[in-house]
Amino acid sequence: MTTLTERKLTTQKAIAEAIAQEMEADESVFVMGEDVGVYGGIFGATEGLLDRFGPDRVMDTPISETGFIGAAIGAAINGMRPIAELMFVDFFGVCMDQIYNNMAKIHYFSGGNVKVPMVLTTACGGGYSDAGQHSQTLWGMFAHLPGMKVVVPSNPYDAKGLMIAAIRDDNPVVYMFHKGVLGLGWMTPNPRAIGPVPEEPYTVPLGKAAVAREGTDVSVVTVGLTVHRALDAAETLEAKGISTEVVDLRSLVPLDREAIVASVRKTHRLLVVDEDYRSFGMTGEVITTAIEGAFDYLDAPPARIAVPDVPIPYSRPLEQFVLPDADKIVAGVEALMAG
Amino acid sequence: MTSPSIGLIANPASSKDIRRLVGLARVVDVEEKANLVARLLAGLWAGPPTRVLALDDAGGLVRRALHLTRSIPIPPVEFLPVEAEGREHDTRRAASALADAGAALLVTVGGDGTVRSAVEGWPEVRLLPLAAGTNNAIVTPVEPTIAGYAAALAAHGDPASDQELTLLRVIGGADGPAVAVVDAVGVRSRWVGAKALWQTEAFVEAVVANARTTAVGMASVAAAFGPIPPGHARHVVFGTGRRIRAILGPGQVADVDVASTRLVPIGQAVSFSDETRVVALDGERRIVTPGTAVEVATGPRLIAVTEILAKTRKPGFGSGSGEGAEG
Amino acid sequence: MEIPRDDLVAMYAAMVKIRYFEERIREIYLDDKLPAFDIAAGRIPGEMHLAAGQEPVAVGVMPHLKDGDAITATHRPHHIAIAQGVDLQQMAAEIFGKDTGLGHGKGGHMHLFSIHPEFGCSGIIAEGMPVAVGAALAFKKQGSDNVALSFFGDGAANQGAFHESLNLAALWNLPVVFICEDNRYAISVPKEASTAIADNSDRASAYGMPGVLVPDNDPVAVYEVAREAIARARDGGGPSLIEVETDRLWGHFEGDMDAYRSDEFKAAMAERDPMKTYPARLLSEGVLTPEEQEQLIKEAHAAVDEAIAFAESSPYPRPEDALLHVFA
Repeated sequence: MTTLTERKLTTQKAIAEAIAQEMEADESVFVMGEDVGVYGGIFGATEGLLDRFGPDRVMDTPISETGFIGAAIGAAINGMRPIAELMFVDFFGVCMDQIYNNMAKIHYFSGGNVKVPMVLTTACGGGYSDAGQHSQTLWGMFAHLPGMKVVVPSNPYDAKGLMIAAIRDDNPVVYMFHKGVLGLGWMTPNPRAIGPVPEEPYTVPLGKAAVAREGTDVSVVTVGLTVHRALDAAETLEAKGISTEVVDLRSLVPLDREAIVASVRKTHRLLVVDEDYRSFGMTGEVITTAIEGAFDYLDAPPARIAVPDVPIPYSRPLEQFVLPDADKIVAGVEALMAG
Repeated sequence: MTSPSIGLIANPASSKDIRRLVGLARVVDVEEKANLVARLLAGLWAGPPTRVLALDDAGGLVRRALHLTRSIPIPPVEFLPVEAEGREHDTRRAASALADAGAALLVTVGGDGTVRSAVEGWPEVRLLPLAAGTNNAIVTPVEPTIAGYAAALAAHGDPASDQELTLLRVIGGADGPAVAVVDAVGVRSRWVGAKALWQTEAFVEAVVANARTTAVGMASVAAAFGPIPPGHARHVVFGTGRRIRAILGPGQVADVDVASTRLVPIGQAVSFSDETRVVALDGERRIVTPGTAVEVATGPRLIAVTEILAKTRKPGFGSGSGEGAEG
Repeated sequence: MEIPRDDLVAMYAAMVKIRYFEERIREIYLDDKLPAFDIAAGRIPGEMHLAAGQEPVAVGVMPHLKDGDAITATHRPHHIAIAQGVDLQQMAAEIFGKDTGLGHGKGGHMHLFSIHPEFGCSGIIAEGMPVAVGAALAFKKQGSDNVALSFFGDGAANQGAFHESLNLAALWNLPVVFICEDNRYAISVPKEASTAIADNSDRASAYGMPGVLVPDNDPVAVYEVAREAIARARDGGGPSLIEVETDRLWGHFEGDMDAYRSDEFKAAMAERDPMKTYPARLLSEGVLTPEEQEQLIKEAHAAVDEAIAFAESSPYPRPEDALLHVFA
């Protein structure tokens, strides 16, 4: 339930507020990760929590992802509800076994008897020249592996609601926040990173997409920062007489296939935009879903814009070349409309 | 004429038992022990020519020491044809082989248990025990490089200055002939278990030899009743009587009740009472049969390092080539 | 203090159960795969890692555990689960892949999970260790005096998770005891070829906790050390590392030719088989009479036979059940 509110928060502050409210309500919720305490999280996801809740509930860890994410799993099995932060999603390489072989599979291996109610938060995304090991999104990979829910909020309202829902969910949830949607003062200003956020706790359901902008000519389906790019593109396209529907998936696992199909049946054209690598990922999944559910409704073959299968390069012209942006989306839609 | 052999047995297993949990005993890890051996080798070279005959221990300690000393001069090191299995009998077998090979003396790197096993294999041994154990009651408390230098001198020099040690011979034990060089403690427990002794309520009696006043362990119990004259051991019977505060091990202070004590001269034996089911030799439990006794004897000798060094110029005053440094 | 007779006997009873269970599983496992070994065939397909010879490490710790204590173990878990008291029927059924198994057949022999008692294992080397650290973290936060035990092998001590787990446990002073079952081999690679130092118990001090070496595969030795370590953890004294030199009597997995270990090595292991040495001592000390021993063996065997019969006669899960239990 939402209350009409004038109060606006950045996505970053909305996340921190969500965690704080759940920690207030439930003693078993605690946070652990690198620099989550004194620093408040490198991207501010845990800002203010240490002062409010103390070091027992907001734990700065050593650089031991396997160790502390595994510890979060063990704690979750034993009655706690941990929130473990993987500082950059790109770091998953040093601890992936704990994530996909333990966190994601213990419930299944135990035939449903053992629950792992934890949230793995992580920062993802590029566009600010942080190069190949600090700029990836990688949600395609997490979504591909069974046993963990994956959510990617694009705005402050969803960020708070999804975080609260994730904490309350008895399953492991990978909560991936794109750095560009956070509204951080030290990143390029983004007006879409600030928005109205109700003060009271509320949830946004996992597994449900949102129509960020209604339209009739084309469905642009995406997640994360490219929702903002798509909305910008939609305004440009509006002036050119093209009505663009922007579908913000919000969750990749569970994937709201009905929403994808419903939108494509309405608009008859599909452009999928993904800041993750192109091959074997989210764009393929969404397009296939559309074909499975709306093949006869398509007026043109589905199209996609994604990062070409190259590591994210450092130099600005190179990085801007590989990342999706509003111009590419405009061009993509126009090509779809023409074809 | 070939140089005299210095026997070397380094024990990778010393200083790792349960006393790390029931007391404040520290771990002496393999790196530390290898370092001790390395320093010993360096110091040996400083003295008159010797060669080293070593057990190729299961922890690779001597090999590691050879690696650590690869760029500095050391005496030639040869390994005994004894295969180490990583078990207690490695030390005994190596000591016996060193006796057969006519080694001049034996340097051990380990604790009292290591010394004990070595003496069991070579009862008349001339000993230079370096401390890498828990209690180190029988020890040469000298930095290993200096100890090496002294060992080389001792190998060439007169054993008359050696200190005679009392030996405790176990008669009638279940595991065959055994000895102890510090103490034989009878306990009520029937289990060897984790081997170490720390549960004072189980103590029945003890025969203690070679008790330096500065030693921890049973020696501190025996020493409470006065010094033990040479050629004797002290038999202590636990029970209501006099309460003593003893320092049983590193960080282990305990009050024990002693009912009676007596001195036992060499040649005499002490029969353990029927209450004793297991005897701990130098801090490690082993099984006994009823009627087991401990005979006080003599045998091993401790090299008198301080005296040897006092009679000798230290390196730096001689030629520096490792020769001719005797006084 | 004297060791209670009940503990001495309970340890033996568990050892008998374990050894017989492993023997029966081995028999069934190999039985319908031969003559030409097909790993996918038979009533127990897949890999099988049995712990014959390692019984003392499992049984020695158990008398010191209480309700609510948690254990994580490895791909070679049966002896620990049995010693801890995991439901034997459900465990056997899980190994047979039946619907009545601990995980309704979803986990199998390497992924056994039980809630009461709390037991879990991971097939990935060393990766159960951080989870045990997490259980201990929860216990500390909840103010309980429960402890976590983390079992792993000599091979695991070179994996990153080992080092991270020890550091975290010591840093946060957690009630976890790390127990290394050193059977000297990681599949075919002997410890000397994989580990830069001779004893993994030495590594403990590098992480700020005590390390103890138990050089004998003896339940009483393990019992005494585990008692101290577990009491210390319960008391707020923090973690410790126990390394037990034990014997893996059979190959790494069933079907392993085990050609990399010499006949002398195997003969020496057989000589010191704890199933021979421990009961001999119990009998000679009068802790057990021959009649009591016979009765105990009979009961242990019956429990195992019953569990295996339960597993054999249980139904398989429906194929489409594969889609269940991904999420709560």
